[in-house]
Amino acid sequence: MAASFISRMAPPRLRIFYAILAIFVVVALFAPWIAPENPNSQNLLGRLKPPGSDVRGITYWIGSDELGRDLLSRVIYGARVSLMVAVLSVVGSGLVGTSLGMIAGYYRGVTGTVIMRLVDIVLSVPAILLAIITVAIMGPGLVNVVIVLAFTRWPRYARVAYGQTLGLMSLPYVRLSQTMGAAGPWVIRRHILPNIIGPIMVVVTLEIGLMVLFEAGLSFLGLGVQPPTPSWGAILSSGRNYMTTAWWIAIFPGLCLFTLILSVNVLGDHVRDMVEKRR
Amino acid sequence: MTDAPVLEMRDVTVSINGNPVVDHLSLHVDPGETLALVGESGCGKSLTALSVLNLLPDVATRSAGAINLQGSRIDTLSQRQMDAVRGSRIGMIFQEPVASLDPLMRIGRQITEALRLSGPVSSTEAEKRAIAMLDRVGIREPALRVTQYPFELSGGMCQRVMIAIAMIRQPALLIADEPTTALDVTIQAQILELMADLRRDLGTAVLLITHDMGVVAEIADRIAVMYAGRIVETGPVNEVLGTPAHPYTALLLRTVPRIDGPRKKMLPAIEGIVPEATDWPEGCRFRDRCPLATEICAEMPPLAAKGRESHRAACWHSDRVAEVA
Ligand SMILES: Nc1ncnc2c1ncn2[C@@H]1O[C@H](COP(=O)(O)OP(=O)(O)O)[C@@H](O)[C@H]1O
Ligand code: SF4
Ligand SMILES: [Mg+2]
Repeated sequence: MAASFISRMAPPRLRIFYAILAIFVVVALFAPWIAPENPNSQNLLGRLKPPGSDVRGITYWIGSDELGRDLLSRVIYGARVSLMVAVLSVVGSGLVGTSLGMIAGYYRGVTGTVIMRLVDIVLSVPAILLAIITVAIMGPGLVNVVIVLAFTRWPRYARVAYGQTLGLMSLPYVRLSQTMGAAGPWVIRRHILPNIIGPIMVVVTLEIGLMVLFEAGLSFLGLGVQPPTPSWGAILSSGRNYMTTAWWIAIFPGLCLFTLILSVNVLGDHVRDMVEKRR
Repeated sequence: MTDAPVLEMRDVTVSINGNPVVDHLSLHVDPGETLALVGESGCGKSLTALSVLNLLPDVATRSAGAINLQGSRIDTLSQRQMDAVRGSRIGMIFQEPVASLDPLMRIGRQITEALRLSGPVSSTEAEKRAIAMLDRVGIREPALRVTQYPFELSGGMCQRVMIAIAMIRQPALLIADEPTTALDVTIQAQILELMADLRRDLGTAVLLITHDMGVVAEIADRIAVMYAGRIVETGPVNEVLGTPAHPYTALLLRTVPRIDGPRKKMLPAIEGIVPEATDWPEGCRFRDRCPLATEICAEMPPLAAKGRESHRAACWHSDRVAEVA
């Protein structure tokens, strides 16, 4: 059973994407041990050096930036920021959205209507616009980015949780639990949540990639994490000015973004297929 | 107090969009007794049962009447107060045995959950009681079964598990809504036997809902025949089945396969269907389908109080029912 589970979740053609994802996660977790240099230490003699340059015993494997900082170290630390923001905002929005969606689906009535109207309202504003406005008000920074993303993204989970919960409400096992005297919170926690977690996980996998992109976008616009903290979006943003003279600054974080999001999306599609096949 | 009915419903009305689909219904179940509520699909049996638990679907509301459980009113309780009644004083089982169990929860856990709803229990104690209860409802290897998931059990076993869940807190009343309809005949007989057994041992009163007169004859003490939201005939099983006083009852009885009859013969169904509450005729609601109907049936609804105290029928022509059978 364990073997067949692995072959279903990770068929050979997908293992490369799992490997890429695993590498990013390991790099993010162990950045301080993996990065060859301090990502913020500047070196005026080593500015804008191309990949492979050696300056006073320091090797810039993928080059250096306009302040002579080691780009490899910055990209490695940037993975940390990107993944942390993505995971935290997905957890935050997932918890809020799933809870509200289940409550709306279970109690329906006025409670349900109010929650789902709120969902419609938040969803009707373009997410990136909402994020920009909120950051503009609350100020930039890593914590605020997470809060903003959680706040703008919960309705997606709420919609899925609401629809799934409505579907479960007419099922006999939910009914049996109610006839046994179980109140709403009991039924929601023990019978609804475990049975809708599959579709919620599909949203999670889709959102993770999107959150990495959003963080990069906000940082690119200067609304995300603030210098000198390295983030892929921020590095891309400053590298934009040197595209002709020092292409590596923008290319490497861009490549990282691309491969990470590609892997997450391919794996997300697979999770969705698995969940849908299970019905 | 001890001889107060376990359940007493008086003039209970359940409406959907203002139409009474259960219409001033009264019935009672005495301690230790099994009352069969019988009628074709759509006549309001399930809504009657759900109105007792105050778990009607969103579209339906209980608009009149009183419900007493062991002598005290429960229809005036809030949902929160009802949570303490459901499960601990009234248990319910229903038709879909497999779908009634959470597919992602082990059997043992589903039974111990029922115990936990009454208050904290240690997990070893709860597990011990779950295994004992599974043994009691006739499941072999109960210690193995508690670790399994519903998909690993047959329909009959799932029905036994549901009975275990409903009975583990020893409620005074068990409501069984078509508990054997989804099961094949041999399993059906076993489940009915189990229910009769448990009732004898634990003294539980049972409200058994069914459309199968064969089931009624097997385990009920009394019978209430329901048609279009109303009780049309009620009385002790042998009297009602022996000498029905309502043509609907007589026609329902004709649909029961005889033990001595040919096995696979098509049974005669009653012509027509139960009309929706919006289409109920004036006078007697059964008159469009009734072979005995006369003018008076169209003019005035028949009184429910006709006949002897214990055996009553709501029909103008009770004395002619023998012609139907
Ligand atoms: N959830 C519901 N929504 C709309 N109508 C319903 C619902 N449940 C029951 N009804 C209607 O109420 C009537 C009685 O239903 P029910 O009590 O389920 O009958 P029975 O259990 O005797 O088959 C039927 O006419 C049915 O159409
Ligand atoms: S009252 Fe008339 S229509 Fe109704 S059941 Fe009796 S004979 Fe038939
Ligand atoms: Mg029914």
